[in-house]
This record gives sequence, structure tokens and C-alpha cells, in this order.
Amino acid sequence: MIAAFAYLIYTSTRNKLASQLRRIRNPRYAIALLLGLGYFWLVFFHPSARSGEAAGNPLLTGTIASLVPAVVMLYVGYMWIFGADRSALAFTQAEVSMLFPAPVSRRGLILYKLARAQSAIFATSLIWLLVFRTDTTRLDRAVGYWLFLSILSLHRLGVALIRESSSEHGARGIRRNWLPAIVFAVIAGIVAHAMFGLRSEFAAADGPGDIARILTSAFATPPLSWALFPFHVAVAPMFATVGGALQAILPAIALLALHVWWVLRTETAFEEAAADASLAQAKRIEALRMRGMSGAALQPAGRRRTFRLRPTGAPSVAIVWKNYLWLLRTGGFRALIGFPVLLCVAAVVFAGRSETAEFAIMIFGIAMAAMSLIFGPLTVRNDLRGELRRLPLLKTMPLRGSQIIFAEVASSASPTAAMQLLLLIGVAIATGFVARDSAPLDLRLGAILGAPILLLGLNLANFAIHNALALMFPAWVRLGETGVSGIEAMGQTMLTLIATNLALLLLCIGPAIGAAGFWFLTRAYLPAAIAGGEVIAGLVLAFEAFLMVGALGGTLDRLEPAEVG
Amino acid sequence: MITVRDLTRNYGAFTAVNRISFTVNPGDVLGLVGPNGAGKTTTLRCLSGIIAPTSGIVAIAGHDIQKAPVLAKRALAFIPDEPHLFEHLTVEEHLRFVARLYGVADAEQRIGPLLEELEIADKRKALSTELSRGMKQKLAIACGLLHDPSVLILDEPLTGLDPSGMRRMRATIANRALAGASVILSSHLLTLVEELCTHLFVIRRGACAATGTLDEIVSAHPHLAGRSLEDVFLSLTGADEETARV
Repeated sequence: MIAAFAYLIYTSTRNKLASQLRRIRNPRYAIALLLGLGYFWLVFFHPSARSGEAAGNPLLTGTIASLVPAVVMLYVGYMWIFGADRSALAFTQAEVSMLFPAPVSRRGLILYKLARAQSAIFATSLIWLLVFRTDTTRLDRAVGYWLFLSILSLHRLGVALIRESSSEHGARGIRRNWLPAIVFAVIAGIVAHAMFGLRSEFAAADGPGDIARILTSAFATPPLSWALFPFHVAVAPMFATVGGALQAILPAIALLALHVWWVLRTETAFEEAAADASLAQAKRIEALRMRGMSGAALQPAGRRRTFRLRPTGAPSVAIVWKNYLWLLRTGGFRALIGFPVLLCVAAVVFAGRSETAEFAIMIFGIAMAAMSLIFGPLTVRNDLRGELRRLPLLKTMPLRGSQIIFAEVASSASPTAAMQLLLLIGVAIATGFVARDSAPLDLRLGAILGAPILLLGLNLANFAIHNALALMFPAWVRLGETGVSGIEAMGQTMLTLIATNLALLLLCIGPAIGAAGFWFLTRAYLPAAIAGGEVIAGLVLAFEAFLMVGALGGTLDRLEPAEVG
Repeated sequence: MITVRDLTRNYGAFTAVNRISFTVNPGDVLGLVGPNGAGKTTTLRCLSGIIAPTSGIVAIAGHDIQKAPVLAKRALAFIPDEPHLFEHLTVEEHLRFVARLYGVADAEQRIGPLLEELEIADKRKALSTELSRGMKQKLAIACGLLHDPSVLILDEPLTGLDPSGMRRMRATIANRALAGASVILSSHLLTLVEELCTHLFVIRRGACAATGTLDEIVSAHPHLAGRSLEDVFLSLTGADEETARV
């Protein structure tokens, strides 16, 4: 049976690689590959880049290395409390049809599942090796990444199995898995207790740097250091020095072996759970092939909200209307707008009452807005990236390619811009009540007045880039929610983010010059200079997005279903 | 009207469709038949603008689908064998969406009778995910018919329909042709082809094996006289030789 699994994994991986390599015959893919390789060479291998490495990669500094175990613990805690993604259990429909009726043991299926994740884990390890490259190409570092990703992947599967077991067998199911449950409960208790003890230090902290220092110190001191020990073991090989690599790798291998043993002995009706999860995933993927947002359930018939669409007018508005209905009915609007609205309300509620709260709101709002600009397009996928799977339908619509793309891009860009605007309004309110960072009211008003145009332009450009990437390289970009997901897909996600953010930075050069020019000319009255600068930058960004979409229209017109796969 | 001249479509070195030509006049129903892999789907996809021909001309209602795709597609409805629907839209909303795409000003007046005609009026508030396979097919057909296309391209339109639905669908296709639409129907159901089609285009290995009315085809192949459409099909596509060899 193992031979059959090995054959399946080997041939699938080989064929997928061959198919990806064949794409390079297409000049577009070949040029992109050369550009990508050139970028990596310049950034990571060029002599001038290497000369600066002696200073050390900031990612490897002590602070980061000591904070990573805590971040991993938070991620693991999230899995335990809110549930690991059930897709961790899922098989493809072909696997369910072929493997489940076959004479394969539960253990065999789990082993297959573990082995199958390895190709993505290997790929991500290699990408991390490039991105987080230090002095020389070190094999032990690659082993460290592989160990970390494998442990996390196994843990995700284990948590999914345990949760499945407890939901199926109730208390009996939890008793069967008492050991990991107790271990995690103890760790969570220690962390909660330690954090509670630090509350006065947090309150007196002067900015994020100070908070990081407090946390670093706490994580290195018992009992928190004991609680974080398993997480430290998992991440240690990634940060080990040349001499200490083996000492870090051996405990991590032991932790990996422990995870394999744990997952394989987890008692649960694996086939049923996996079949259910597979079916749910298949439905979700089918839904996401249509749209590409989270697999949220649709509202029941009685509570479906809608808004009217006139039968005449610009036809591409129909696409925006359809996409907005999706956001409305899957809770996407609530998820996007809910938190920023709460932030604004909190900023008003704490006005004049708590400067600390207003400071936290200000920092949090800015961080969220910045994060949403970088990571937003990864989660808000209510656009062409979800729709490309339905290319035959798109191509029969009586619209030009550029009209379709613009409508799709606007469907994601406009709600994301609205979310960011609300966050900035919350920040602007909060800023007025933070004495040390207070900005005059007219400046804040100026910034908020120009913000809608700037944010809309910025998001149009950003989402246009993400959609362009999907349109030009559909074989390399994750469309909808299909393909590998979870921790294993981080490598691909990082590459996407590097490419898209570099492109966005390039697009921002022109608008920044325009805005700076306007500011220089009108700087006598600063609020107008800020608002005008924002409007100019937003308009130029929107114009750039418009040009990009126009140029991509022909690509969509020429794109064929076989290229999307 | 549909005009196809020397349509060729290559996939790399493989020629899926090789210099085929035909015309479908208003009121005509052309049956596109052929064995699996003969090039039917490629032909239909070229006709509906989903893929571009390698060479040749496809004109829909007088508009070249390559040079004036928007005008050509406005006159066209392509109904694939697998209905592609939006899971978060109701039946009625699908039709409103299509109405806006095609600018159907009197959509509200059309939607009711169309849903009645296709027997899905009671499902107008249902999401597409709540529909059975057959209902989904009916909805896809309704979406195709809403803008009253002058060209109708159907790929296995009866897939998933129950006997009553099939009968209704046959009547709908016939009525559209009577109203002046040019229809292309691709199906392996030869009884359907025989009942509805005024002309046949038999495709084999990407090329035209025979074309014309059934009588014209039989008169060009006298040995097929008096034989059923199934026999004619098997003979023209070479399937009977392969069957005999097996």
C-alpha cells in the first residue's frame, strides 16, 4: 500500500512540476521567471547585498527569535480554541473515491495525508531559505524550516482529529485524548497568569518597542520560559547559529517524532471525519470557484438581503451588484466593516476618559489599516481571482475584457477602502485625545477629507495588481480557495506578497511625486495641502489602475479556459 | 444568422477543428453531431467567443466574433451542458443580472412568463444551490433566452432534465427557431436531433464528414438510404467500422 501511495505522490508531483515547467515555453511566464530570479539574485546573492549581511538579518535578532515561539503558541492556541481548519482533514474528491473504498487502514490514510503535505512543505522551506537568507546557504537552516513547518502541519492535523473525536464522542472523546488536552490547558494557564501579572508594566509601556522588551524579558523567565519550551524547540533550528545547529535540530526531530506518534494513535473515526471534511471542502471550493471569498454559509431564504438592480444602464455594474450581494449574504460586509465601526465607537466612548485607551485605538487602527493594505487582497478575493474558474461564462458576457476586470477589481477595492477609511476615522478621533501625539483638528480634518479618494485609488491599484497577477499567470497563482492551503502554502503566499507589494511601490512613485508637488505649492495652508495631496495621489493611482486594467483587457479576451486549468 | 468560414482551431500541433464552413439561417436548427473528441465542443466554444479560432471567420448576426465581440455576443446565447450559476444569487436575481448585462428594459415583464415556460416559477426566490440538477439547467436556459437572442447555441441542452422538462425544452427550442432564431444544437441524443434539426453537420476528427439536410446527406451516400439516423451517424463517423473491428 505504501508503494501505491508513494507512486501516487511521486507521479502527481512530477506531472505537476512538468506542467508548470511547460508553462515557461510561454514567453510571458518565461519573462516573469527571469524577472523573479533576477530579483532574488539582486536582493540575496548580489555581492553588494552580501556585503551587508555581516550586520545580520533583523529577523534573526534576539528579540524576534524570542518572540516567535510566543507567536507560534498564539497560532496553536487559536487552533485549539477555535478549531484547526477542517481542511486539514480533507482529501480531494478523487482521493475519497479511490482511496476510501480501497483496502487501506486509517493509519495508512493518515500517513498518506502526512506524506502528501511534504511537497508543499519542501517548497515553502526552500522559499524561506531564500527570503530569510543569512550569511551562506546553509542546509541546516533548510532542515530547520522543514522541521518547523512539518511540526506545525502535523499539529494542525492532530488538533483537527482531536476536535473531531470530541465532537463525535463527547467527553469520552476528550478522555481518549486527555494528555495533549491537559498539556495545552496547563500551558495556556501559565501564559494567562503571567500576562495578568504583567498588566501594570504594559500600562506603563511607552510604545510598541517597550512592549516588545517587556515580553522578551518575560518569555525568558520561568514559568513562561517553561510554558514556551515546546514552541521554542520547534522554532530553535530556524534561528540556530552555525555551531548550535545540531543541538537545536535533535530536540526538534524528537518533537516531530512525538507528533507523528500522537497523530497516528489519535482514536477517531478518521475516514468519516475526513470524508465529511472533504465533502465540505469540495462544496466550499465549488462556491469559491464561483466567487473566491471565505467559505461562509449563505443566509437562509427568509433573511436574504438584497438591493435592486435596474435592467438598463452600464452593464458592468451588474458584476459589481452580484459581487456586493455575495459580500452581503456571506457576512463579508459585516466582517469588513464591523470592527472598524467598533473602533470608531470606542474612540468616541473613551474620548476624554482614557488616554491609554485612545493611544491603543490609534496604534491598533493604524496597524490594521496598514495590514489590510498588505494582506487585505489575500483575504478579500471578491474579484477576478475567484471568477477566473468560470472563464467560459465570463467570456460569453457581452462586455469587453477591460470592463469585466474593472468591475471585478472595484468589487474588492471599494469595500476594502471603506473599511480602511473607517479605521482612519477612528484613528483621527483617537489622535485628538492623545496629548503626546495630538494633531490639530484642521490637519486631521484635511487628512480625512482627502482619504476616501486616496484609499480608493490605492486599493484599486493594489487589487488591480493582484488581479493582473492572476490573469497573467493563472497557472502560478492560487485562484479562489483551490490548491494547497494552511501553513504549507506560506511560501507561495510570500512570493505573491513580494511581487505585488513591489509592484504597488512602483505604482506609488508617480502619485507620491504628484502629491509632494501639490503639497509644496500649497504648504502655506497645510490642511488643504494634505487633502489635495491625497486627492491627487488617489486620482493618479486610480488612473494607473485604469490604464493597467485597460492593458489587461486584451489578456482576458485572449485567455483560454485550458490556461486557467 | 451564423456564418462560419474555414474555421480552424489548433492546440499546439494538434488540429481540433480543420477548415469547417457552414451557415445557419434564421429559423434553421443545425444539429452538430459527432463522436467524442470529434471537435464539437471546440467548435461551439469558437462560435461563442470562449476561445479564438486559429484561422477562419465566425460571424454572429453579421458581426465577426473576433472583431466585434460585444455586438456578436449581444445577439448570442450559449447554453453549455454544465450550467454555470452563481451560488449566492436566487433564480430571479440571475435573470435580473442577465437583464442588466444585455440591457433588457422590459425584463420584469419577461421574467414571469419565461419562468412559467420553463416550469421554475415556484423557485424564483430559491438560491441556485437549492436547485436540483435539472432545475439548474432550466435556469441556465432561462438566462440564455431572456434577452431574446437571435442566435442560440446549445450543448447537450437536455442533460439532467426529466421527461416533462425534455418535452418542454424541445418545444422551447422549436418555438425559438419558429420565431426566427438561428439555432445550433449539439447532442448525442439522435432522436432529439432528428426531431428538431432542419440541417445536420457531422464532424469527424475535426473535419466535416457530411452536411446538409438529412435527405441531402442520404442522397450523397446512397448506401444509407432507408437506414435510421443512428446508422447514418455511425456510418458517417466511421464508428460502425470500429465496432465491426472489435
